[in-house]
Amino acid sequence: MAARPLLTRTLAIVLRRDSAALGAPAAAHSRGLHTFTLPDLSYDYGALEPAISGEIMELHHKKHHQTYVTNYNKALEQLHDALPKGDASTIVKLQSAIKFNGGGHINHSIFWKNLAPVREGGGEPPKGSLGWAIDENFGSFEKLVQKVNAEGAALQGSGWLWLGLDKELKRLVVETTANQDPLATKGPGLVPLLGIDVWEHAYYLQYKNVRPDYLKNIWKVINWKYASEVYDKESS
Amino acid sequence: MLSLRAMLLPSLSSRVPSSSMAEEGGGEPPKGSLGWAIDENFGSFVKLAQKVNAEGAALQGSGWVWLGLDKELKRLVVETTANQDPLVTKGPGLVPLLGIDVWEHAYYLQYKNVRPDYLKNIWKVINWKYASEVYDKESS
Repeated sequence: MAARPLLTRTLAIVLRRDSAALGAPAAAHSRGLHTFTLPDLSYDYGALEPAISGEIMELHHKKHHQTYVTNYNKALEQLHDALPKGDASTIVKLQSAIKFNGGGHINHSIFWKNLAPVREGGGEPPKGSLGWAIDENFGSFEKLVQKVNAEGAALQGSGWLWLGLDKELKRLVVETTANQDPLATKGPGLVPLLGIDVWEHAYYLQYKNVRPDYLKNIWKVINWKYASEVYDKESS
Repeated sequence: MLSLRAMLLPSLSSRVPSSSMAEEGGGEPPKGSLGWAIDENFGSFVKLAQKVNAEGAALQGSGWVWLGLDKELKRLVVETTANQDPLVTKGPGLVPLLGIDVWEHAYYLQYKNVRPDYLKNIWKVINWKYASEVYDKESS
């Protein structure tokens, strides 16, 4: 069909023209390489106070997450170049940067959706099917919170806490991952419902070394509406 | 072609300009045998600092950056370890001369996310006298 190649060529020209204005990362777009971007928050940086300070939210989003996005795109571009050359050594060497920065982008993108200001329902415990499932799997919402907080306080180094859905075994799990490893690294059938960042940058400016206080307070701004949506969708 | 000065006093070649040194000698680059060894192993003190800073900035997550002595191979190494793993976890014959903490708690209140700035500045307060003592003792 002649129309489709024409459309593709036109799109490529448009993307190349636009990418010149957007700078180098977007230029990759015209070569068929997807460029990841920093997602916007649906709330102001200060909207989660006093649970999480605006200073932390801004640094966390604008600096930390942005850096993961930037470095993820860079690593993917290098991979894109190495693949057609069959440069196996480079392809393998890039895996660490891809996992770390890609994981950072994935995890933080989930994290921002896991949080909501109190006036938008942040902190309201889950109802409906997810509420039921929590009671079934952990005994009660309070017991879930205790378990997550205990695992979080005990996590050595940097990492994440997760409430996940095991699609295969049809049950909820609490897991931890190190550094920026996504939940999927603990099992391919695991779907993240809620992720809590316990890297020191997530709380240090406000809570200093007292990670347990951060964990105690973050529940006040957890967005259970989003977690419930994911649960309903993935457990149907 | 080394100058006479550089040949006689190699530990003074390519020194990082010591702008503000702590009263107790913090930041003063190593002299003596450790200074020699650094030049031999890394080319210069500046190159060592660059290598340590690069590895420190690239370290994923929490961990430490080390200048160590490999007692077996009789050479200096730059290593990193994850979390609170001591240097020996990278090799039983490794002796730590200098360790730099790059956990976020070591710099975040002051340098926020900019770990490279912390690494750039910490050299101003490194106690090379201690590192030299350990080096001399462990390499004899």
